[in-house]
Amino acid sequence: MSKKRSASYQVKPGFCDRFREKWPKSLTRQGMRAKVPQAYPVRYAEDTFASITQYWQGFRDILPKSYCKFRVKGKFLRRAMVAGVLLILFALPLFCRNEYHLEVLVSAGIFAILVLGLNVMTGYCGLLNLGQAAFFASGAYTYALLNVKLGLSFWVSLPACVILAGSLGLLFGSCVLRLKGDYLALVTLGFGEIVRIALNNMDSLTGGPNGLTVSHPVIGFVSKSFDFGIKSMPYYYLTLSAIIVTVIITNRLSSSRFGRAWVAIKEDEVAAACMGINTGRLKLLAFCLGSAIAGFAGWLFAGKQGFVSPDSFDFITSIMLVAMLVLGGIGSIAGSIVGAVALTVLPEILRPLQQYRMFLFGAVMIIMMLFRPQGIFGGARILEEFRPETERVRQEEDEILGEDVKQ
Amino acid sequence: MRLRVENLHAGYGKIEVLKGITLEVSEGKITALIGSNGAGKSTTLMAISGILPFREGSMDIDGRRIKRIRPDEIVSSGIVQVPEGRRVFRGLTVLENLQLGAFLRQKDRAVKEDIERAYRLFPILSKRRKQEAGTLSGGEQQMLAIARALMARPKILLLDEPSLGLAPLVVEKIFDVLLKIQAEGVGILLVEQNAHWALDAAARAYVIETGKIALEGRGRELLMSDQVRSAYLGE
Repeated sequence: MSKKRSASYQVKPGFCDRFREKWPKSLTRQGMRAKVPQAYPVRYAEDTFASITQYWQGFRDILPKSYCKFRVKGKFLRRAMVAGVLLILFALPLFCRNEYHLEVLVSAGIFAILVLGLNVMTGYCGLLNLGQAAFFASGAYTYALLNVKLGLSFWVSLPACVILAGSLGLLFGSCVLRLKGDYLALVTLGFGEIVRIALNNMDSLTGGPNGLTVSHPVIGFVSKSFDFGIKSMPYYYLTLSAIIVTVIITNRLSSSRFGRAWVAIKEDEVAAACMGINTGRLKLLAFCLGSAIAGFAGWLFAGKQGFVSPDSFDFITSIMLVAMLVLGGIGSIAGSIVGAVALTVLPEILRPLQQYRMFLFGAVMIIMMLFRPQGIFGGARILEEFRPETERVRQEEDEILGEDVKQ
Repeated sequence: MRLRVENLHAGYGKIEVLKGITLEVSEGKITALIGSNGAGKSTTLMAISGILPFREGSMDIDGRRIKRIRPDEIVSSGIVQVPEGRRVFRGLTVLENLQLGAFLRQKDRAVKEDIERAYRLFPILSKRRKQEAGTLSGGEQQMLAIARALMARPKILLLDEPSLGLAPLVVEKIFDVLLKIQAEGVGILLVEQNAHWALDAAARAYVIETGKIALEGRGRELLMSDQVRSAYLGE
């Protein structure tokens, strides 16, 4: 196999071609030429890009295959690894006393829950949602309003936050889920903005841009109570537990028959319908669960910040969530978490570069997409699609299959 | 089980593809539907499967008249389609694909037995059970698509071009299995480019032309008719 791979350096259909197929005709080289006879700059730029990606593909072919697969095999080994990671995470605050570091980790954790929710919609079911911040906001504001207007405590308002965000997802989803792909993405983007602007303008209820100040969580015992206050440590453990709960739920979902049906819908909706899968209802279920998880994250966020304002739920947040998911690996639970942590921690590490840090951040993302388009934890399947050999192997197999029949 | 489609009109957007199709499929028999490209063969299957709505006309399943039905209701009533171009779930394993075929009868204990039965029918699938379906060869994918549809325990199987793009020997193998399935009492509505085989095996056959049934009769009879011979068999 490796011999075959290193030998082929000719022009391969790489992701350059993949994107080219999806572009509107007018954007392709031929289309440009038809419009502007001498579009040399375009041609030059495209050729350069093509040669870079071609070079990279040749390079990737000589890499060892183990690099492409990043999966721990074996149940025991997997469990041991999960236990090890958990142990490290639980012990971390004992060694890391730096308030700022913990603070960053807590917000990374909240993002991780949001990305896990997004993973249910986008990763499992293929519904690209660019308005996840809206459901995040609905969870946060539900707690804030219940706390400010009705004086309900942090813990008591949890079910309300989750249910409200989930039903908002259900309501919105039932209106827009007949749309597919890019169209759905655009509508969710609009929805995210509508929610933010509405929160900004409903002064009497939400306090508008001034936001709402809410109380931090308190654990009450018989004689004395423990206030979470503004220290990061208690929130670290709270967030960690919340992530564990979310991981267990989404993991169970993905291995359930619904999880399998979601993947089927993502891959081929018509074929899924032919199997008797009620695609509409299952898509709605994925959307509803994803938004409920976002509501859960919102509840946590509001309690931790002690303050909510529309600024926290802007469009950039939604986009960052998608970027985290793509970076980590679409459809992967570990990837969702790692992606969220990486994209929260990275800008903090790059802080000394001041205004140039977003520059470097962008560069990191581009390099990542060139070298591992399937994300850090993404399966090898996406790579498989790039390989022209797959088609050849298939043909060979068919010939062998034919001979089998002859005998 | 008897499926009767009466005066079916369906189409996409402003274009009406089917302009009154009437046909009948019964259990344990092969019914062939042949016609040139764009005549509306696949559209007929999509409409019967409930994926495309009926604009006019109705369906009759065992004497039950139906005008509008959801795809999952059709599947649970025993009519399952194997769509054109195989359309297996490429990222899922062979086993997962088969399990998805039985989506509506998940609580049924017999699902495991049926998976074994599918492996007996197509031994190559049993070798590949842990492999992702996208890595299978075209012939294997077609076998998987048929096996997956059988997992729903259909009484009538709608097959759209099972020989499309496959090597002749693989096609032969697939046709053999179709005869086996028929012998087990499943009705098959077969849309096929390979008109010769389809007409030969079919108890009843329909020729569809620009959305209408142009000819119908026993398969062998149509095979003999000059009209069919010149238009579809190239003789």
